[in-house]
Amino acid sequence: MNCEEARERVVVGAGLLRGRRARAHVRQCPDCAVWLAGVRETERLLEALPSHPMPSALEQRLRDVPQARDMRRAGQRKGISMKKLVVGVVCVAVVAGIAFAGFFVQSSRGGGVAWAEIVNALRNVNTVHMVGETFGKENNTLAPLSTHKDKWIRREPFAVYEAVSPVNPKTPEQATLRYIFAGNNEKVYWYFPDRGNRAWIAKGLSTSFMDDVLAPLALTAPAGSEPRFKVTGKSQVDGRKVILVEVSGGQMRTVAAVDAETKLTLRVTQFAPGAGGKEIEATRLRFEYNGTPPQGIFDWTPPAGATVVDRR
Amino acid sequence: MIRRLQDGQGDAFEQFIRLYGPRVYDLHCWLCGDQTAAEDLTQETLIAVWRDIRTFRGESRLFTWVHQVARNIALRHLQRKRQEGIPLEEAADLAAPDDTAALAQRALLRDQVRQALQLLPLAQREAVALHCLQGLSHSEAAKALGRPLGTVKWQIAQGLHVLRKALLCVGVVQDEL
Repeated sequence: MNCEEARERVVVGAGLLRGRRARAHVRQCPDCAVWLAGVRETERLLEALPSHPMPSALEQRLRDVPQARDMRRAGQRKGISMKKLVVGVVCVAVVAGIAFAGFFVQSSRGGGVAWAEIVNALRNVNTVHMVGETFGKENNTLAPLSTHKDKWIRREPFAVYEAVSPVNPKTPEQATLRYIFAGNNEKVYWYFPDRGNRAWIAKGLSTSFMDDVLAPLALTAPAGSEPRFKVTGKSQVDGRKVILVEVSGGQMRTVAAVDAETKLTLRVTQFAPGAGGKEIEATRLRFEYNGTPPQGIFDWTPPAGATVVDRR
Repeated sequence: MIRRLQDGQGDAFEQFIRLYGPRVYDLHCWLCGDQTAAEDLTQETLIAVWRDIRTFRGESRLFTWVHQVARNIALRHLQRKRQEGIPLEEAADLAAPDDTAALAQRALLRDQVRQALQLLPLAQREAVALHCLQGLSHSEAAKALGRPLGTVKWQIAQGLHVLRKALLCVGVVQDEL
């Protein structure tokens, strides 16, 4: 058996006898061992790479597709000429552009977070929400968590801790908040705050989680509403500089204090409906950088009927 | 969601974009190596899926079907590019996102890998992208590509080997083996 044959059989899988011979060859042949180790190392490197974030402009363009279709249909029904339709679309685009520019300027003045970052966060909020839905309803499996855009979880042991919190919710909106950990006893790969308002951040990953940081905030907006983010100013929490981000979209108004350096959410304050609404509850989050979560925090029983996909 | 998509409901399409848009965009980035082209291809893919969703009979996962559509569109794009003699994209814009050093480093590495990936034959590139970068299992990738499982496994291994050599050449990985 030559090297090429042996490698192919080891990779593809062969019958018992041939497979044993191939594996023995690869073990004994230094070239094949190096080849196989290189392939595995490259695979690991690729799996740890981040995805390309989808540009927000593209997403907006796609969101407009059904509207454009409806307009076209309406235009056809009412006998509107294509020329009129084009003029109408251009007018709408100009108005939208002005509004967008105005909001951009307003946001830029308010703090140090770029509009693109906020839009990006908003986009990923939805991603996070979808993961939850898919997990529970669509195919009844935990696999979607493992194929989240950050692929670190896929082949490592992981467990999921999920809870509805706060312990004593004061509003229906609060009761719908989801708190999820995914990780093992050494690292947390992806998080929401737990009941104790603590989160553990995996070593070296804390500051790359901008996408997920605002995720829990969007869930404070009522279901079905479109959460909006706006930077409203700067402040300090626990001696750290924070950027204040307002989340609106329903009757409730939420203000989050986002650490200017790490982009982690340090405080979330909810206000009663209406202008100048009273503060309802402030949630403080305490982060333990590179800390080790206590044993048992990931103890979790999957819902009845769920398939636990373990790809270790 | 599939039923609502088939009924042509706009909110279902929005949900669909949120769920699949980022993955389709990511796939196109890996396959064609050009982020600008990937935007157009993503749009083309998602609209094609929406337009043809009624023909989806649920024989495979929606995810697999979307990948097949995306792949066909990417192949057409690459073929057109070859015929028109358009040169391969210059090195990607390596400007790091204005976030943290760690994030910038990972984004830089991703861009270098994306460039190196373009050196692979298309069949290997597709197999590597679907399995190693998009997280599909071997059998899911084989189904999406319409190739036998063993072939896909071997294409992945060969692709990773070539990719490693390319990354060694540009110093992205060190030969410590």
